Amino acid sequence: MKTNAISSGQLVTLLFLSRIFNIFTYTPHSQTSVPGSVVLLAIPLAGIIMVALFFPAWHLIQKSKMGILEAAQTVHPFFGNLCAGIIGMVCLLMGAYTVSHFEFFMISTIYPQAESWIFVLLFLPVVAYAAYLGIEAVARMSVTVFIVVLGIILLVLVGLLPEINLVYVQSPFIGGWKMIVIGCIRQITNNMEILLFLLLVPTIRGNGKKAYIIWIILGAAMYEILSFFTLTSLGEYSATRLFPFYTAASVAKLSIFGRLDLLHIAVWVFVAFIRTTLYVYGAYLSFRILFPKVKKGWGIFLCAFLMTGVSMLNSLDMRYLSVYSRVLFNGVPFILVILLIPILTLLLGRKKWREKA
Amino acid sequence: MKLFHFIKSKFDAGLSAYEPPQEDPALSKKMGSDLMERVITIRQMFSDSGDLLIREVTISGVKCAVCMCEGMVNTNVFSKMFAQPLTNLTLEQATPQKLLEWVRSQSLLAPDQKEFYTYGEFFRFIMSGFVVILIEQLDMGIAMGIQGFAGRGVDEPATEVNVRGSREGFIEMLRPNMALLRRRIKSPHLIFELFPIGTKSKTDVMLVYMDDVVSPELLREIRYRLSKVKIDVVLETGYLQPFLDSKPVSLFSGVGTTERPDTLCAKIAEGRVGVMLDGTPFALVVPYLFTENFQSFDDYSHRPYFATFIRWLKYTAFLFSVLLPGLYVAIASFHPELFPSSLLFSLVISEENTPFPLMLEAFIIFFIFEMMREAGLRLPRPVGHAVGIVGALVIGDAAVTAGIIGAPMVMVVALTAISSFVVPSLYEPVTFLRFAFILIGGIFGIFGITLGLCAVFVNLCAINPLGVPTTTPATPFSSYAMRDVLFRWGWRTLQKEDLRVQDLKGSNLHMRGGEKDEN
Repeated sequence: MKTNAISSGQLVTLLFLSRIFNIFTYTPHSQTSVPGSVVLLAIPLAGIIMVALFFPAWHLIQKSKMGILEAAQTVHPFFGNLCAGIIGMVCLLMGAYTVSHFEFFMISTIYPQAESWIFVLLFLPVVAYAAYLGIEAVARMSVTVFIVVLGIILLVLVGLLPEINLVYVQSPFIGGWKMIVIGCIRQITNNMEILLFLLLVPTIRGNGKKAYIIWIILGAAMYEILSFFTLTSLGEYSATRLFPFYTAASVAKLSIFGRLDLLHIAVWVFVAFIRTTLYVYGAYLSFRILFPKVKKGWGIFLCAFLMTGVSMLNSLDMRYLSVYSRVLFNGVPFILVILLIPILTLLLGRKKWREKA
Repeated sequence: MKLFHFIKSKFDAGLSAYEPPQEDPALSKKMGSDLMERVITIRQMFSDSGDLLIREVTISGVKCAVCMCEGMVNTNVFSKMFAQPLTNLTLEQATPQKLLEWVRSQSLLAPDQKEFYTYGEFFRFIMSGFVVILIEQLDMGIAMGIQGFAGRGVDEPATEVNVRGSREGFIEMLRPNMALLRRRIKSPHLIFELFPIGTKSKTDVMLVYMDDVVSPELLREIRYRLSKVKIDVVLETGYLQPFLDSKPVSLFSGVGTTERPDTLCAKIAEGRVGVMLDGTPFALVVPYLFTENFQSFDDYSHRPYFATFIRWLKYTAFLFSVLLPGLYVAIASFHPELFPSSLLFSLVISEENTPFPLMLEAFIIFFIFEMMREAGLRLPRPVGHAVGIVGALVIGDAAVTAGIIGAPMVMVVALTAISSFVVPSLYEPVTFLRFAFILIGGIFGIFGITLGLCAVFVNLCAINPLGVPTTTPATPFSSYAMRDVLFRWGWRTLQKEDLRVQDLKGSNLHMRGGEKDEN
């Protein structure tokens, strides 16, 4: 039996929960700069493109029979260290962005009078502890959280049913193809979880390719459903809200429960926790290659500490959140880690992979 | 980093300074053949303790010494099966060797007969209720098990009362407990493995398992961990529990306890190992899954629909007992808008005259409740009831009338208290978590509670007692094992496939009776 091994199903739930964070923070109009109806078409198209974009990375895993970090290390130690450094930095920034966004949600919507740094200082030690316990423990937890989250989302959606008005749904072609392409690009570049998939795929038992496709389908389906409900229940009002799905959850009414935003807060904390833990773990996996002598506990603690530092910048000045967003989702990190590194590793190590085959 | 290493080295040095007491070398000394010398040595080593009885007798002209501990031997059996036959014995041309042969082969002095050669064994036998005969010129002794020490009779277990099923519970003596198990599983595969534990107490510990279903890896690991116990005196299975538990440090345990022989039989039939100790009726079950805390023996006697209902009742009660006070404090303090307006008005009315914030109210009242529970538990039963009545009057009525706490808080406390007794095996972690959630709910609201829940849950998921994740079969998910978790299926379904702990998903134990299990 492999130690530290998770099943492909657990990986799907981990990544699904991580991706769902984007859905909660997603604003149909303002953030993506495309109308909500366009997003409804862009989501499935982006899903198809994401399957295609994964091909080089998957080809590398198949050829090298190892993870992306190990494969890059096998090609050349310097190249391996460089790749590990880049991937580790991206993980670190993604984790810090998640915490910052979560912190922003908390102080803008739930606790307007609270100090933002409190959330960072409370959240990251718990996340570090979870990462320290290992990916197996987090993966086990994610299955139950997945069921709870699905249940809560279902409750919110049922509560939203009376509010649905199809008049808000317009033709996605209203802004022409350009809008659809922009929508697709935004959808793809926001999905940095593919990096997590690449980092975690060596630890899974089962069919990785199938897991990837199921995850893309599940994620796209959930994205589509939530976008549809948010758009049709709030209409253009959603474009003016910071967190439209939270607003939708506040509007939802179910029997004796006056409001369902309490459930939304719980879901938000759960998914932010899973996502940040994954990025801390990912950063640790990458930096471990650069500093192999550092023990696991210290490595994870240092990654969480660095993440706290970056997130605290945002606590001091909320404008950093948009800086992180611009840095991470402008497409460069996505192309670099999902396309460029796998393609370069494939090309530079082609002799070795051929020998291995 | 250097500072950390310095502190750690000092801490480790402090730990390693303790050395467990070594066994007295005199105990491992072999006995000589001189009877008088042996008797004197024994008396010296026993410091002429009042309970040591040594009677020197002559049987058919051969000098012997009969030794026993007072109060440990069944005197009736001793006189009928032991004293009378030996007194009436007439051997022709008797020699010590002939007497030994007679005792070995022709006598039925006791069914449990053992021979030994060291003083250590001598003391272990007589302190376990054996009668020992020392014969002149022979450098050995013969021990006969006719134990008859006073003990409690087999009774209904106080901590695991059931509506249906057996009323028998384990008792403090190990041998009758073996019989209770053997009566239920009449199989040669049921194995009892006895060995002493405790450097001074030499308490008998017993591993119980079925050798055709248990994982050898599991058994090996338990034996290894128990061999690491260097406690002087072991009086309860709770002393051994930390040695069988695994990392990480957790509020929850991967080792279960039971007082019921039927429950232990069911567990060992699933490939688990029972650990029993002389002097306590509580057996340990290793490994123990989290979901088993919600199962009781009655579940399997009730009809499936009712057993399922009870199961869900327990899950709900567990969540209530952990989260309800914390959630109440968090919502009422930070998110009152989430209450329906009618409920909110009643809350405001009842709380407006109380002097303390909700979190402090909850803390005080639960603290008093725990004090009363502890007092009621330790005091004699009639006084315990009186404590309960006084507590109910003080908290339930006087405190509300005096305006110290609000009536809804009393309601929350009562509901939580009742819920916490529904799953008694989880009472300890539940109590601790309840206080923790009140604190974080009162300071950080729903965010704090959800984050705390994440920490507790991930910790629970990391527990892997002896290679089996404690959260299985829920996660990692084992469909065939789930027949007895969320729902309790009928026996027609349950009988189709036997559960083995080593076959559960996520288990590191793959071997079953030496063969790879393909389940």
